[in-house]
Amino acid sequence: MENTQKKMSLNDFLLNYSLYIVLGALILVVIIMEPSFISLQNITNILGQASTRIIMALGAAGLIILKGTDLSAGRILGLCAVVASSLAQSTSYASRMYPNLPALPLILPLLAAIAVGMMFGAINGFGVAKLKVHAFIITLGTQLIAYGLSCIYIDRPPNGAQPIGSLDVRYTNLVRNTLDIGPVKLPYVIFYAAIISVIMWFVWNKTKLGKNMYAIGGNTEAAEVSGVNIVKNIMIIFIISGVLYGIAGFLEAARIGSTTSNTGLNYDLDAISASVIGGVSFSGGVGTIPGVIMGAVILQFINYGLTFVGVSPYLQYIIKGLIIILAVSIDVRKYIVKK
Amino acid sequence: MEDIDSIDLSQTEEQANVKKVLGKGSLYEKIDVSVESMNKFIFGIVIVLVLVLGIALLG
Repeated sequence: MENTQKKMSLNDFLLNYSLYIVLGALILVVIIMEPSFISLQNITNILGQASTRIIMALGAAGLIILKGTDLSAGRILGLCAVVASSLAQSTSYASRMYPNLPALPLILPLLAAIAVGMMFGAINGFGVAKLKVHAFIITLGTQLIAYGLSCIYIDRPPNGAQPIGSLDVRYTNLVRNTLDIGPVKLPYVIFYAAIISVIMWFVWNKTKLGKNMYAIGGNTEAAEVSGVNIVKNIMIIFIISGVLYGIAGFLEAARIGSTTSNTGLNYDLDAISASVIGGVSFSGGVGTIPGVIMGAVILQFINYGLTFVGVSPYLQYIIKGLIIILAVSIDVRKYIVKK
Repeated sequence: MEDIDSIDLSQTEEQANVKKVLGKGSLYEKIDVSVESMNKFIFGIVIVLVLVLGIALLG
C-alpha cells in the first residue's frame, strides 16, 4: 500500500515536473556539447535579452491570472517600439522618418510608447470587462490592428518600409550601457527589468488591486458578491499590461538598435510560454512574479542555447511549440486533479 | 429515530463549492478528460519533445 502511494507520488512528481526535467537536461546537454556556453558573457547576454521578455511576460501573466490571455502583446510591443524609435533617431541621420524633428528628451519617446500601449490595453480591457468578449478574441483582433498601424506608420514616403535605424546614442546607451562589476558587465536593461519586477511584485502582493486580481481570476462570482468592482479592476489590469508592453517596446527598440513592422513578432507566444512555464495557470487565480521571471529566463536560456549549438531556427519553432503544449498540458492535468 | 447507514467524509460542502467554481469561465472550463488520459498525453509529448531535441542536437 505504502509502496503504491510512493509510486503514485513519484509518478505525479515526474509528470508535474517533466517540463523542468526535460529543459534542465537540455541545458545540460548544451553545456556538455559547448562548455563555453556557460560564460559570464553569455549569461549576461541571456539576461539582457530576457529582460524585455520579462517585462512583457509580467503584463501578459496578469491577464492569464484573470483567466484571459493576450495574443496582441507582441504586436503592441512592436508598434510601441516603432513609435519610440521614430522619435529618437539620430539628428545627423539623413533618412530620418521626421527630418525636421529636433533631438527630443528621451522621456517623450518613452511616454509616446506607453501611451500607445495604454490605449491598446484599454481597448482590450474594455472588450473583456465591459463587452464580455473573451480575451482570446479581442486580443486576436487588436493584434492585427496593431500590426496594420505599425505597417502604415512605417511604410510612408519618402523612406518607404525601410527599418527605423540610426537611433540617438543617448537612447541606445540608456539601454545598452553596462554596469561593470569586476569582469561582469550587466546591461542597464537588466536593472530596468528588475525595478519593474519589484514594482509589479508589490502591486500583485501588497495592493488591493493585486488581491482583487487573484480573487477575480480564482472565482469571479465570489469576488463580485464580495463587492469587488470587476469591470474597473479588469480594465486597470489590462491598462497596466499595456503600459508594460509600452516600456518593453521602448527598451527593445534601443536594445536591438532598429525597428521594422515585424518587431515583436511572436513575442506574445514567448510571454505566454514564460508565464505558463513559470506556473501561471490558465484556470485563473494562480501565478507569481518570481515564477514568471524564471519562466522567461529559462525560455531565453533554451533559445540562446539552441542557437549557440547551431540548431536550425525551423526546428527551434517546433521545439518551442512542443514546450508550450507540454507546459499547458501539465497545467491542465493539475486542474483536472483539483477538479 | 432514523439510523444513519453511512457518512461520506470524502468531500466537504466547501470543497464541493470550490470544485464547482474552479476554472469557471477559463479556457479549461469545458475540459472533461481523465487524469490517466492526460498522463498518457503528457508522456507522449515528452517523448516527442525528447526525440525532436535529439534530432536537433545530434543532427
